[in-house]
Amino acid sequence: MRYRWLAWLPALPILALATSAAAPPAADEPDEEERQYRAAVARRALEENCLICHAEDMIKSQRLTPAQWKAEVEKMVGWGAPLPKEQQDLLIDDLSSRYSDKTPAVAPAHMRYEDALTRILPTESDRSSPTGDADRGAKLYAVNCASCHGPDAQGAELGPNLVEKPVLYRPADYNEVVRKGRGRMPGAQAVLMPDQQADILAWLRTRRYTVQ
Amino acid sequence: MNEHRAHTISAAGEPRYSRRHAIREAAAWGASLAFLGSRNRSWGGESVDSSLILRSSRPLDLESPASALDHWLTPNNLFFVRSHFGAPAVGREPWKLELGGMVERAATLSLDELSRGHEVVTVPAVLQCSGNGRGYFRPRVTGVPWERGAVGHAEWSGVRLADVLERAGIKPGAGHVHLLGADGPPSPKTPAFFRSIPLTRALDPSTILATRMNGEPLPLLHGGPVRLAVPGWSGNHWLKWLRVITVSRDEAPGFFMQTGYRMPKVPAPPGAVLKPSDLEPFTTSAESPGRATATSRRSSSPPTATPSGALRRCSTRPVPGAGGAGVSRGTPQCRAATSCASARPIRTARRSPSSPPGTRAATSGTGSIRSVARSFKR
Repeated sequence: MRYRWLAWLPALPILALATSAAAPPAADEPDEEERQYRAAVARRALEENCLICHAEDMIKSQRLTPAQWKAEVEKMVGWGAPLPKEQQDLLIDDLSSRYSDKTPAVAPAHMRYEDALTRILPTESDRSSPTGDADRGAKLYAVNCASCHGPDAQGAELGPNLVEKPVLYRPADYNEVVRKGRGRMPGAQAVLMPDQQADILAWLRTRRYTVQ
Repeated sequence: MNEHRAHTISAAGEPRYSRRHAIREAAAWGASLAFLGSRNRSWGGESVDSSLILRSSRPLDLESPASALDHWLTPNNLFFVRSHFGAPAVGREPWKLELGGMVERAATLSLDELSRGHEVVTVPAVLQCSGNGRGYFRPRVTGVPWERGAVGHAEWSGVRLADVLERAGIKPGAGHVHLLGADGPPSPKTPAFFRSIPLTRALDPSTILATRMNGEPLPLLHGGPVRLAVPGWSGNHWLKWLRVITVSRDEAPGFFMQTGYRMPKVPAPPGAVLKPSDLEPFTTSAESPGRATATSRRSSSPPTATPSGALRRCSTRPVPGAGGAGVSRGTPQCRAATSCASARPIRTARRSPSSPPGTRAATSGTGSIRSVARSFKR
């Protein structure tokens, strides 16, 4: 008789299940919607900040602990990555879960030397004369580009260094970026006429990299 | 499993290679071909990879496939590529090299002026990234996860840095030579890849301003039109797209000289954070036990065979000030590579004989387990 309550024992797991389903998720375990939101913010943080300088393949090949990812992200912020402070933790969490030291390795892609070279070689002949006016370009650059890329085009808070970069001798690539923008950079299609873009290009080509 | 035995050299020096082994190996290759999928490997003969392993497409980091290390010279288009900020735009106007600092006659030199009146020498040397092998580290470390192929061997040609500096006239008190390339960092907050080598190393006759690689004009992705070659020292000293040479009293300032590419004075566990005073540039006292990579198990000779031609052609004199202790401690195949790298430059540019048949060992004298262990501290 004393042990009659034992008959209820098999029901315990069912009871436990029912209560857990009804209970709201713990504060440190975000629900699915929250997870998706965080992933989207982290994705955007990656695209708009890390991918200014890095291709994603390098980031994807890392296998690091959360402490290592934190150190790496902070190092890159120190080196000029314009990652807003409020997005840092989200990005670190996302990278730590996606590319942790437990994540299985993925076989790297291959690339021919010639194909890597083709991506940066000038697309115009040595003899083709510049179409823009560098003096006009200097003024246009100061108004339209300097706020992000710096007065000397060697990079500033938001825009990277442009001096002596291969894209300056690949006019189609240059025009594409200027017209359509990239990452945080807005497209200047409605702001700059094609001849003005050429003027800016002519000025950029006169710049030489110097240590400040 | 028995491949090892199949490659044993008989007393007569001929490899024993039975039909049974041949069939077994053919089957093994069939399996690996299926496994390798897109990678180009020809059937039955040499294994051939026509592409590099992509570690980072921007900035560009490409790793040599192990098969590219089979030969005495690594082909230029299969030689590993390392860049911090990507290649600069090159070739639109004549290259200029600025020479200044503690010299009597500062100058801006074209490539023609650079070589005028100076002897062009050719040095066969191993070039190895100090992070080669980082991908195998456990616990993991940050950085390009190189496996075996951040290394290669080439013939580098150009004028001696010593000749150029001596013509400019080195002022008393000079101790280091600062080096800057044309590859600017993306942000003013990003440290420039600004480096230096001690003057003693700059004056070593094997240190050259390389404008040719394996007989070709120095390719753009390998630092062309001109890079420094510092045989026996790791790749971070071999500054690419060299633009400014400044003779100075002290080491170059900045992250990539004072923090990156430093080693603990005594071995430390991976990930350890050390005080600057416990670190040193890793060339000056590094022991270099060397490294060997077996690039093919199909070899008809033992995979650690030393290229006999290499030993004949090279002296065994270590590079002064280059941590030469490691040279004598290395295994024979490491000695070959290290001493080649440190050999007195061959006086006139010439091609080396091609690799002896059956040579399958690629070695390096510059990298060591110790150096790799520390190289995570970029």
